[in-house]
Amino acid sequence: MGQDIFEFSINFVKLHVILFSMIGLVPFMVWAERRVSALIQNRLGPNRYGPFGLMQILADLVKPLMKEDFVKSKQHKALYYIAPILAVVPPALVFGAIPFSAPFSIPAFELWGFFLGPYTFHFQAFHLNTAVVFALGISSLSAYALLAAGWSSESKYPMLGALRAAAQNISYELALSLSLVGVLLLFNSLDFLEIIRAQNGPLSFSFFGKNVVWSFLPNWGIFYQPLGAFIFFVTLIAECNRIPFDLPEAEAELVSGYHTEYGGIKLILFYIGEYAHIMVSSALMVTFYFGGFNLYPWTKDSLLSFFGSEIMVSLFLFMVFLLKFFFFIFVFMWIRWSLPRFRYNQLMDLGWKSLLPWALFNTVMTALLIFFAN
Amino acid sequence: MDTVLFYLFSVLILWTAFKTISHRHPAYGALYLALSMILLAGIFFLMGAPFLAGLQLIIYAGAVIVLFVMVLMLFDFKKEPSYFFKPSGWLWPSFLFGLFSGLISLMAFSSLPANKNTEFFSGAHIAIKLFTKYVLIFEIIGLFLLVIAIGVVALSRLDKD
Repeated sequence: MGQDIFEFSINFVKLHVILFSMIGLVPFMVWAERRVSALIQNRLGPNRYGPFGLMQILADLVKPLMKEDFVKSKQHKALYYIAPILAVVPPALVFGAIPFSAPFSIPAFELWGFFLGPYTFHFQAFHLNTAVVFALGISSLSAYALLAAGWSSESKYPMLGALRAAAQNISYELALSLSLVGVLLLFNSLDFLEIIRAQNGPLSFSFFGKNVVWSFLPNWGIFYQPLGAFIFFVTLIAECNRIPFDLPEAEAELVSGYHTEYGGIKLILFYIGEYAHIMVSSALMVTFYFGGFNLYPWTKDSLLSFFGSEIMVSLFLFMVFLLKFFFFIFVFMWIRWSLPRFRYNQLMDLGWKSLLPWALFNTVMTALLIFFAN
Repeated sequence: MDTVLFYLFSVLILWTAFKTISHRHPAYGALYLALSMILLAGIFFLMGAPFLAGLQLIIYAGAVIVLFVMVLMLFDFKKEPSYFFKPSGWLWPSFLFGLFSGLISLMAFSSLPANKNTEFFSGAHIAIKLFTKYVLIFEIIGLFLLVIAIGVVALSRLDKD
């Protein structure tokens, strides 16, 4: 919220900037997805309309906006309208809690006769002490949107798609949360900012009383938790309902799953929710396992002596975060256009019989190593 | 601000809880129950227990009630509601509810301190309490859940053997 009206209004603006930049990124991601798929399948992709085919975005957006506001269901009309909105809200809330860069402090200053400050400006919509629990809790609510959409459509295929989606989300949530426990034990915090700060500098740990420093590697979570990172990434793809886990909208079996009966801007809202999930997932991957906005071998102090001002350092680190963030979005697209789809029983077997036990093993091993090696 | 939000959430929880039992379609009832759980997480958050709010969202809203909603959406409710809403069916439940609410209010007015506890409860606070003072209860609940899990697997396998 903020301590006075100035900080409150800054935070208010920031909240909206982050939300609208998230929504504004979605058309570019659709365009990027088409270009990446073309690259992988040795095609050209959209390249005629505007530079690099970028104006295709406009055509993609205007077409659904012009469509008729079609309502399939008479009995569950309210639920039918609420479901697409519910699909966007959870990823948007989690996206606001992710720190995109190092916070910088603003010293006290005078503006129009008012003495204001000092403030700390966070590069996130809101800063929470228990952000990890918040993120897991909010993203677990996304199953409701799929269920509501499938059920209120009053049709067989959407209902089947929604059931598959909800069962899949609930099953993979367990492995997702358990694979995170290793990271939380290691960095000893539930705060995204603290987790990122702990990944600063070279790889250093204490092993049976000896302090080991490997200066050729950064202190990132992936080097402590390779198994946890792998399980986390796989479960994230499943939570996003993307290939190879896109059983809810397997078009060969279920037309297009829970959003079969949707059209126009309501369908676009589902797409926004889906791509927002991908953005949240890659941001979480960067935050937990790839050092967040840290850029090894430079630390914040050495960057401060290079740039001179704290604001410039924060902006530079923001660019570093964005680079890692876009790389993981690219990896998501790469996987989608490289792998075939699972069968449903294979999906459930993978979730319950393989990922969950390995995540448990990872948790126990991490706890034992931290307990004995320290 | 906190007080206004607290009363807003409380009123909304009462309304959603009422809708849970009064809505004609059980699937909507489950959805209203989920909404009241989410609002309850909001109240936990306002009371300075964000960790508890997150757990409320993960466990109740995100896992338990999703299953309720899923199962209720699968059924075809055309006849059950008319039976369910007969006045005679409400006598015994309303007696039980009266007893329960009386006991709760008795407890609330006699034992609990009147002031709101604004101390911040982090994950570490809860973990330390859970694994030192309440470790026995915690383990017993874990054992109960294990028994339930084994029982469900055993019951679902019963026909095949």
